[in-house]
Amino acid sequence: MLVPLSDLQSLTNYSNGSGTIVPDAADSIEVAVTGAASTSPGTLASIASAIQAKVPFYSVTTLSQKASELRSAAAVLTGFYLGLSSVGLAIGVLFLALVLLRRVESGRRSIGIRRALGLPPWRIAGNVLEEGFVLAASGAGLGVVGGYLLVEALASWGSSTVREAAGLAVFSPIELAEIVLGLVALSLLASVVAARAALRVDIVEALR
Amino acid sequence: MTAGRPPAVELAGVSRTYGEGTPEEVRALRDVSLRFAPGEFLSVEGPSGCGKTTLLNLLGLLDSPTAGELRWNGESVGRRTDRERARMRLEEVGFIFQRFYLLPMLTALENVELPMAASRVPRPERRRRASALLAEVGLAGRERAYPHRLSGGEEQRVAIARALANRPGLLLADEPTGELDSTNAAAILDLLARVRADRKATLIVVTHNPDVAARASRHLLMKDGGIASDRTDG
Repeated sequence: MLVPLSDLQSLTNYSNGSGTIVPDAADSIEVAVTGAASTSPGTLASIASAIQAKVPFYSVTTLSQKASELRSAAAVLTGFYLGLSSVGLAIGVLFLALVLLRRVESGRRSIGIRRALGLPPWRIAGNVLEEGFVLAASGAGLGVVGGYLLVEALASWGSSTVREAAGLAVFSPIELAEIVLGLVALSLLASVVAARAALRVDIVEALR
Repeated sequence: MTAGRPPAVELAGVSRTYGEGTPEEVRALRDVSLRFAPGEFLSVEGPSGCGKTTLLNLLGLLDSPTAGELRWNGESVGRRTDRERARMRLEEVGFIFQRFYLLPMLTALENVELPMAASRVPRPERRRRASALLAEVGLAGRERAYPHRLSGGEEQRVAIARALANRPGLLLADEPTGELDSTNAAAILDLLARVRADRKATLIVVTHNPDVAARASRHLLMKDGGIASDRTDG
């Protein structure tokens, strides 16, 4: 249970003997509860309420409430990073789709020739998907290797703060593989847009 | 359809209108009815914009008629699905274009191999057949050359070899000598006449060139999207 120190001093009438309450730099104090009450959420809540009633202008929380607050804060932070990386990923996927669409547009003649020769539509679409896959897989591979090397370099040659921060980085092969696979799957979705555009190329127009 | 055997091609009241119902509407082909016997050598002549290329595109299933019917061996084929038309083009039709339309990132050999690869001909066999076709059109030793390293005449020879790759029964050529000098043009015409005779394929050539037309045994003259005359040499 966490209670601001000054409140506890008020509550316990702790003073330096001259009747003056001793100020303290600490901003909170733990109140330990022992015995059966320590494992009874109901009892802990009633104790917290009792203390809170005595110091209505300050916050009294139990440890479980504090843990819950920390978890919420961590979740907000995780959500923020997730949102940030999702935006980055979306921009990357959109960029890939645009690159592939541009390639389809500039390769209209080539697509028209292939289609005129009778290459099946799935083969034309397959070429575009293959191109998207190669681009995405290369990008993901370069990103993972580049990120790893960058962190290693920072951990070796950065300032003490940077080295400390770089030391916190965790490279989990399984998580990285999952990220790469997810990225490639998303990129294939982007490639489908370009493949559909390739299949819509009008042969007669393309050969004109 | 049987690959290699030329189909009997028939157009019944075929029209092709572009931008139908819009102010830019163009009637490229108007109510054309024709019949081509297997193995014929036809020339299609006429002024620019008279519908020659549109006719060729319809015959080769690159385009669909807006009215009328296109039949191969009595079967209606003009409005089949994209996939079916692609398969028929791959197996039955060989295209030769004025501007050759070789794929620049592929070598001469790979360009000739392309239709066979799409037909799933095993790699060693298609390599062998592509090399033989290049030798047949006089390009032995040029297999590894990229199109930008070839002369216009050589590019057209590669295009002819590519058109023959899947042993089509119907060869369609759109101004095949249009971008060649007279020497190369004569050589290409000799080559076309020889491969048609060897393979007993139907050859339809769109041309402005009277020398090209003179080689054909049947002559179509087009005007304003219709057939102005249809003459067979005695």
